[in-house]
Amino acid sequence: MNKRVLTLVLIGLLLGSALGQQIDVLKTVVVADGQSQYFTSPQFSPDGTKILFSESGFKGLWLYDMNRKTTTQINDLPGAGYEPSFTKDSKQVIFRTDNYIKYKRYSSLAVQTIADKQIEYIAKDVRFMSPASVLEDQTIVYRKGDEVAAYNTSRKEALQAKAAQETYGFIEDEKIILVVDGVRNEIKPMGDNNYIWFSLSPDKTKMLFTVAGGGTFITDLAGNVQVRLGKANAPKWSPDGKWIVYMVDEDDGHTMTASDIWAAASDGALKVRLTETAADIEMYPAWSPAMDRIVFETFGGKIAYMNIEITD
Amino acid sequence: MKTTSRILFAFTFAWSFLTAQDLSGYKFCIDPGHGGHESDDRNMAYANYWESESNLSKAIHLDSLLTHMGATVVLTRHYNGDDGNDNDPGLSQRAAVANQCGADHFHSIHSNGYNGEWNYTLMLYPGPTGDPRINGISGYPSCPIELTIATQMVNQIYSANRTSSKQTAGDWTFYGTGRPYLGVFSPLVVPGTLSEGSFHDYQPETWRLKNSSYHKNEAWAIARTFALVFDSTDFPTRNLAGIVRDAYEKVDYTSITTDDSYQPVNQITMTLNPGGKVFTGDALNNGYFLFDSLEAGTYELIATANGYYPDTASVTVGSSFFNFKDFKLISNVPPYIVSSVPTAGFVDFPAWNPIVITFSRPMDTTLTKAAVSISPNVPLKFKWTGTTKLSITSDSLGFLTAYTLTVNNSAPDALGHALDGNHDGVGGDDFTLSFTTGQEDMTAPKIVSNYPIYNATGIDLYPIISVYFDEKLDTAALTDDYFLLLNYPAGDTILTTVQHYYVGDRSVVHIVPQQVLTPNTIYKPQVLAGLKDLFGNTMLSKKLMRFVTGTQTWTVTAIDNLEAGFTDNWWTPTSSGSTTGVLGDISTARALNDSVYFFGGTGHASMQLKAGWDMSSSAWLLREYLSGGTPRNVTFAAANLLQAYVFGDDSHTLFRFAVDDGSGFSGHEVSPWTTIDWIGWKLVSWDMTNDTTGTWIGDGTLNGTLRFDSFQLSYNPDDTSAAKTCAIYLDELRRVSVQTVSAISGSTLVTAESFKLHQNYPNPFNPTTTIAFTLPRESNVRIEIFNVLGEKVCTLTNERYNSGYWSVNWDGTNEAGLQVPSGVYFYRSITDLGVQVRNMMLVK
Repeated sequence: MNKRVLTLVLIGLLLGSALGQQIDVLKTVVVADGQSQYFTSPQFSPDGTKILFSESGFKGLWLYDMNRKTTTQINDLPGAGYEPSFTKDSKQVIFRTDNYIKYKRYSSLAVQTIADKQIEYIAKDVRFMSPASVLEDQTIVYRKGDEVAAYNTSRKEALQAKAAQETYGFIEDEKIILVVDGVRNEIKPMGDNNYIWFSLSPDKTKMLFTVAGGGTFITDLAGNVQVRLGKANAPKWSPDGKWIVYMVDEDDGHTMTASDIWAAASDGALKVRLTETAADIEMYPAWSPAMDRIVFETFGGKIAYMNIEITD
Repeated sequence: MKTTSRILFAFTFAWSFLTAQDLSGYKFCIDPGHGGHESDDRNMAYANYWESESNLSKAIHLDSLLTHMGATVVLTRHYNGDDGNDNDPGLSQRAAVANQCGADHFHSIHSNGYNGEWNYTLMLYPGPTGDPRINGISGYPSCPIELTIATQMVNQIYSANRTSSKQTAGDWTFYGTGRPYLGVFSPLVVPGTLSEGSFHDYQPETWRLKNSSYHKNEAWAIARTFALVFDSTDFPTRNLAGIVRDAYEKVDYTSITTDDSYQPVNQITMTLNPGGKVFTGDALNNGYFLFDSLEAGTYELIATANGYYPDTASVTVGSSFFNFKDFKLISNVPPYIVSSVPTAGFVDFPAWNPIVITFSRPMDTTLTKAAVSISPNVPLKFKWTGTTKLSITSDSLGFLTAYTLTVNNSAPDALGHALDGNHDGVGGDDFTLSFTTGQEDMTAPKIVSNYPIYNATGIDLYPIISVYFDEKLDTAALTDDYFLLLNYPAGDTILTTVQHYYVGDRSVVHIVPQQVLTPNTIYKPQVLAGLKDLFGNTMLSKKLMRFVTGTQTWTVTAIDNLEAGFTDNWWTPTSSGSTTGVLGDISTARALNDSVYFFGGTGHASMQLKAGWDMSSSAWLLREYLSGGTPRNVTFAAANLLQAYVFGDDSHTLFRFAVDDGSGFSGHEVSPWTTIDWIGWKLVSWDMTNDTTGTWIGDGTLNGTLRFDSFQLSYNPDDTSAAKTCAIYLDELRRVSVQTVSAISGSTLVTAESFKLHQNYPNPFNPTTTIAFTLPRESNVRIEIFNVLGEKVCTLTNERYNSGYWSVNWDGTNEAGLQVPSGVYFYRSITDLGVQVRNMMLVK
């Protein structure tokens, strides 16, 4: 980092502080203790009343009811726990499940109604399918091979025209693919590297991604770097787009040795450490829709959330 | 994969053979483990080896193989060291790369490390052993991919690397956690495996893992696994690999196979016919070569290297995919002497030790033996170990004498090459070895036993603390300062009288407190390092003893101080009719002696008793009878102790007291026999209440008033150590009344200590430090120093020690006497009681 950039970062950090931006952790609540089963990948439902998570190996889905404080397994399908989504009404879960034919991996996209646990398949046995992103109107968009596909879960119909209009991005073999107005663009903002943990900002004007071994970045849709977050793994936009929550994990080449959860203002002005425990290795955080909670897992299988208070 | 990397690592062999395999449509994520040249990037400094580098090299070879079979390959890392962004991505990032590229399989490439003495192949998959994560949907078997690939790949890599064994396990089980352990498996949504191909800290393997072709053969093993599993086809071609080693020269590091114990040959040239393919080896001490993509058939393989005779072999590349042909080349340089014991110019070489000459290669043993001479000339005896090591001994080597041993140039090796005695690369000159023998005795004096023994309890308050040596000490260098008595835990020094005696060819030193000791208190006598024998050999260890006093105080009444009056009061031994089985010459006698007397008693004389036992007799008894005078008037009771100081000669003569408890023949009772198995002074005490009585002519019961009758000696024919003569001294014959101290104040009794290796002091240190240890009983003790690489630096001691506290010093030098670099060192004690390790720091 040259001196000019460093100075700007310092000024930004001071400004953030001076303007009173802060996140305070109020308390932490354990949802699943991970003693007999080892859970992973938690996320909140859009209405904030449920936490969806999976078991080690991403097999099956569980729902934790925040009001009743009960946990229910809704399916046991392989791969279902890898980046599933809720529909906006929080009544359905969209997930991908994997199948192997001659050891070749095929994925199916399914929608499951939480109330009766009924599962319907949107697409079956597709090579190189991405997890689905959910839009405002019960419509999902996902990568299906080389195409971008869309589907409305309430009308139960494919929306190819909608897919063509949607701004959508995903990772394909070490590079970012951004589809805008039906035009597919290959983007390598940081040159030849392994790009991972890609997401668009809620207003779809910015890209958030990590370069394996090279840090996490926020860029515009053309790939121009706006914020360098440094080591910020598994980053997630806050629903209002003002914050990024992420993990800073450490390993010894074999196993995880430490990890804590941090949050950063999406303009890079502030970084806040949210966990600092000796016993737990906190990983893979996710926001609640009201931004009053952050749910996370620990290495070894515990699911917990922290109540937070954001001062803007 | 980066285009630049592909160009950089492109192979030169033909790819046509791979057209039979079709992995098109499959996607593999290959993870070269570790990276960054950091603390977790396992480095073997002696070879400038980093695990990350060999992992990446294997991955790049594998990328090329899989790509040419039509597969799509994504690497999680493309760079080593400080190069590139992704020289060391985190484990969570590597898994994310696999997840987001949609791989059919993820494989992480590693090598293993443990203690430098293992070299097996390990395959791991996520989950418990035998029950990997379930990735198949209902109706499909539990993730057949991970188990199938792990089982297949461990066989392939084991075959390619020729490791000692193979193991397949789930990471939850292998690491004993029962839950997710490997950080690269835990976030993985695609099937995954991890190979530890071999052990990079096993030094022969370290060097092989420096060789790119060795990586390539392991890459072939992984690629073959994918071909067999995903495409159900095998490669039509075969690989031929091998290692070229010196036929005789051994490596100086640990090897677990006979082959690995031989030195690999560098910069080999291997030629394969027909076809004239040539492989040029590296200079990285592995001797490795590889020809891949061969048609099955019989080939002529020629191995050449500078300094060696070429060798040719006919090799059939047959049914197995991995074929091997190893060579052992014979050096064409003349034989030379690799090492000698003693080394040139060595002084103080023990004259009784063998001179050992180690040749660089097998010798003509007959002609070589004939070529050996020594000046000054003495008769020599020879013994070969194999055909490279010659041990030379002589019963006639003088002490403190300069010798020159010569192996003249007529000594040929087994192939007839003349000896290169000066090791200049040209044969035909003599080897000469000059050394000087040491003195007759070159071993430091050793404490063989002591009284009281370590941790003894109930010791009287007036003890003779005795230290027994295995040889004579040099009295000129012996002062009282070497012997200390301290109480514990106060650490006060107790004033003592120190007395040294030669008895036979040994020394004994007595330490007698000048005050009555405190009851029920721990005392720690010490013998400091520095005592010398008559040849100047110095004892380097400090000896710490330990005992606990009892609770009895004594009131002493003299019977006879044995200073004079023998003629009036004591009969000569042979005057007693009870004396039998002794020789009637001067060997049996009683005398007043004023040179050996108990120095802690009264006067400066003692009674000497000598016995010469008649071996033709069937019974032996010497009775030294107190016939009258004042001593005879001293009476005592069975409640008393009867005591005398006895200066022993370790003759195993039997000794006892006799008392009169009445008149007449039956009024004589005796104590049990005591075997005189000590040298120097010892208080012999008969507790007439608690000890038994012996068997003689009395009724075995002590009745009424007692008087002293006699000292008695005997020969024990059942004791193989019993001498036929003895000469002992007696002093301070007395009766003792016993009182028990009822109040135990400030008790410091502690339980017996177990074996303990103490922390060295000082630490950190420069240039010397002391390593102490405590033994609860006798044991052999070997203390070795190791550096942080696990290499042995030196052995400090390797001998038997009796119980007690001992210490040895280390001066920071290795076996060769060279100063070692500063840093952390480990010292390990191996005893009959267990092994303990500690570390220490040498600073400069």
